Amino acid sequence: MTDVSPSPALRVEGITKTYGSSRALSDVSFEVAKGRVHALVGENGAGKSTLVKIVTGIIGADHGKVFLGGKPVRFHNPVDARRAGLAAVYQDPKLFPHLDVAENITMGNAPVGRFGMLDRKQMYALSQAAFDELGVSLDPHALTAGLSVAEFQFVEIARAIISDLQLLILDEPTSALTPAEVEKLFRIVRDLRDQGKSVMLITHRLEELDLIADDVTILRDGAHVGTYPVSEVTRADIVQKMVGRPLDSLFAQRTPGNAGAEALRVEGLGLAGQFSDVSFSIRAGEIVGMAGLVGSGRSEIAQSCFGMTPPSRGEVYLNGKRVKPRSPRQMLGLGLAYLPEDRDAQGLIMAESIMANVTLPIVGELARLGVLDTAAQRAVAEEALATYDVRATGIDQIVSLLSGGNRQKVAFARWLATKPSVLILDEPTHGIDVGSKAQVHHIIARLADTGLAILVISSDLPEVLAISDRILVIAEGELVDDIEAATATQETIMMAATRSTGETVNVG
Amino acid sequence: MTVFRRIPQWELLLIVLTLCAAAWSSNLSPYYLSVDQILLSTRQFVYPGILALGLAVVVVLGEIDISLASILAFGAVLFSKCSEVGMAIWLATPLVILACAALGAFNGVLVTRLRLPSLAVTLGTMGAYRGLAFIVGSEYGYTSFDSSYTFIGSTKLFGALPVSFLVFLALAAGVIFLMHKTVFGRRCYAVGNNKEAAWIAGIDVANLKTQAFALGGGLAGIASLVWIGQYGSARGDNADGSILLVVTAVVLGGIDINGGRGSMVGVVLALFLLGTIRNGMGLANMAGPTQTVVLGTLLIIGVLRPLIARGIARLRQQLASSGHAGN
Repeated sequence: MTDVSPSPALRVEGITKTYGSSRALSDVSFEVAKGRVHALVGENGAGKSTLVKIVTGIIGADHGKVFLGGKPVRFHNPVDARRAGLAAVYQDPKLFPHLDVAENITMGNAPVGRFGMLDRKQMYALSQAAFDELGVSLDPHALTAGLSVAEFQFVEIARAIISDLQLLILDEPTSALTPAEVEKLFRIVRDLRDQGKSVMLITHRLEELDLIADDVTILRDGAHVGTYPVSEVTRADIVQKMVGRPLDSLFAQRTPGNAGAEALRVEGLGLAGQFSDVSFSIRAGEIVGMAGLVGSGRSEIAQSCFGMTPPSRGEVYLNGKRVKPRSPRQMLGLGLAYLPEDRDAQGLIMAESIMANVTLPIVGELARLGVLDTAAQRAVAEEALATYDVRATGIDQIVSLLSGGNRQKVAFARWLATKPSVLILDEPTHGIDVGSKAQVHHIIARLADTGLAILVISSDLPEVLAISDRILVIAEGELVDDIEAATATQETIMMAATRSTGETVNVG
Repeated sequence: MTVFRRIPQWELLLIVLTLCAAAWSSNLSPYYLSVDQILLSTRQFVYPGILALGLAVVVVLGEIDISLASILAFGAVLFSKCSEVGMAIWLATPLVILACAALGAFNGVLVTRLRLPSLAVTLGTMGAYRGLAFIVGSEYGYTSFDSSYTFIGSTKLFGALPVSFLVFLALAAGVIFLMHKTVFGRRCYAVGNNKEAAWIAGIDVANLKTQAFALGGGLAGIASLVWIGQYGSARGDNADGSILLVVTAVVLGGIDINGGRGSMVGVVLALFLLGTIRNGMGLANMAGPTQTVVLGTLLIIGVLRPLIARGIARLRQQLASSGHAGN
């Protein structure tokens, strides 16, 4: 069925790109074969995104060549690339929310009828045909604003296949999808492959490689480490090549410490339309995982406890005392800190320095009569840099210049500077690389050992199982299970998380 | 070279432009280059300068207050009422400043509690506060101020140095310190950069913004004290139309109109630049409308500032790489 012709779908040769003094890519060369799914992996900052941007013409390379179907190409923008049969779909596609699905699909490539008028009939027909081909049941007339992230991606893929697609690039497509949606996406990818098209998949989830990829290319620090058929390398090999050190030092299983007194207790907590009747407790020194599907209400429960969206019913007890969460300021003062999931938009102030970020919540305490104490701030920031092993040029470096993992460490340092007794972490390793992930796990374990009560919200089940003492499972705004981590498996958690929803694999 | 490297480039450019404008002015008029003339010319810039200091704080927070000139008019009229009833100036001054701060705080409350855009709110109060000034005062204005009321705005030390200019310098130093050396300032910049992240970091954003609006109003109260001394009159239309100059100074000074960025020192330097240009235009007998066109152009240049600054940075880089042996 697959049509393997001699020239590869994509070949990059000696691609080099420098930003100022730092080298994002150095002399990267590899091929993506026709009719294959090719995974591109590497830690954050390894150069994956830069490579995609160069291939699709968003930025130009300093040196090197790109060949598409054997012909040298140099695209000036993504529209050029799309015309040549190369399309990229990003994690969070940017669509026009107030236009309908078909208008988005044909945007920039709309069928034109007589007198230069839009041929709307043809537009809907084309879109419907694309969905039929993909096996997706989406209405081309539906308004884009109401779609889920997965449906956004399907619209983008449909947009890609209505022109003559040769190579589809998917940039971390699965990180915001539910397992059922991932399944559906992979089915589409396999169909495309069986039609002889090539797919390049960028991912952090190595377990996906065995499911979907034929070949894998590994980048490390902007350099090409190697390209292999997936069947010839183990996951441990890949991780080792990505980080340059063996796997067993990365995912350490937690040995539970001695849990102390009850630090946070929640009774019958509810918020209209979000979640209801949630009760649980966390003791000092305990790490409790919170699992559940995206959209099940996990973040909303945490944000209610933190006072961002005060709960409409139920009670919250902090260190034995009843509190009414009203604002983050109040809850921080009482010793409860919350690390938001959207680190870049909510957790940090990207345009400010590491020092400014770390000291922001405690800047008042570090001051005398309202006057900043720069020396004290520097000391706190220097200590944080050292304690959490943040790789930066110094405490005056602007946070937006750090990699994802290092930003997360800065965000951690900020909350811990407030000396909380309860810490809620919302997807603390979301979108960060394997090496930093392990460091974050170590930090969490160490903090629990010093007596913090920690609640970790995570969609990464192996992570939840590895770091938690106990696991709470949330489904459709209700707490459906509270299990010891030692007796839990990925399957039991997934069963619980989908039990009350009875969700079927049906998009649209 | 090292001394210059410490000065951020935009501030440096403002200084250079001020010197150019001074050279241009002295070319236009033989009267320009005298210390007396220059010092006296600072007078007309004191009241908009004080308004600009307050506005700069509000803009750092990502908001705007275009009602400040109307608050000044209300303050001037309130001073006239105090003078009329024979109230002592030391009592009238804090009273007026507090009243003006309350008007500013009211803007802040409307913006933060009702979550309204500050441009719309202060466009409304710009009219409302001026109307209030007319209602409190009379249509004919008030000109018989007690001399104690006009001391600050009209006295010149050594025959040329206006006391009001010294008041401005003191307030400027105070606002620079407030915004760059205190917790309040640190929080203002954090909120201006990302108000949601700042809120999650435990900052009471609504309260902070209200305080900033109140500060702007209070400073407008001080500006009204300067006004009555300088012009000897109080009426509802005082300082009408001066908000263009005030906004221009803030934006040209390098405060990002979207909040979070820019230094107070830049605002003060921009005021000196605008003052020098205005002074020159006045000496050259340039018509009022022409002066307004010049001001409007400068405002747009100020908004384009990030682009200009980037261009300068690139030019510097090229110069540095081509003429490395030079230093």
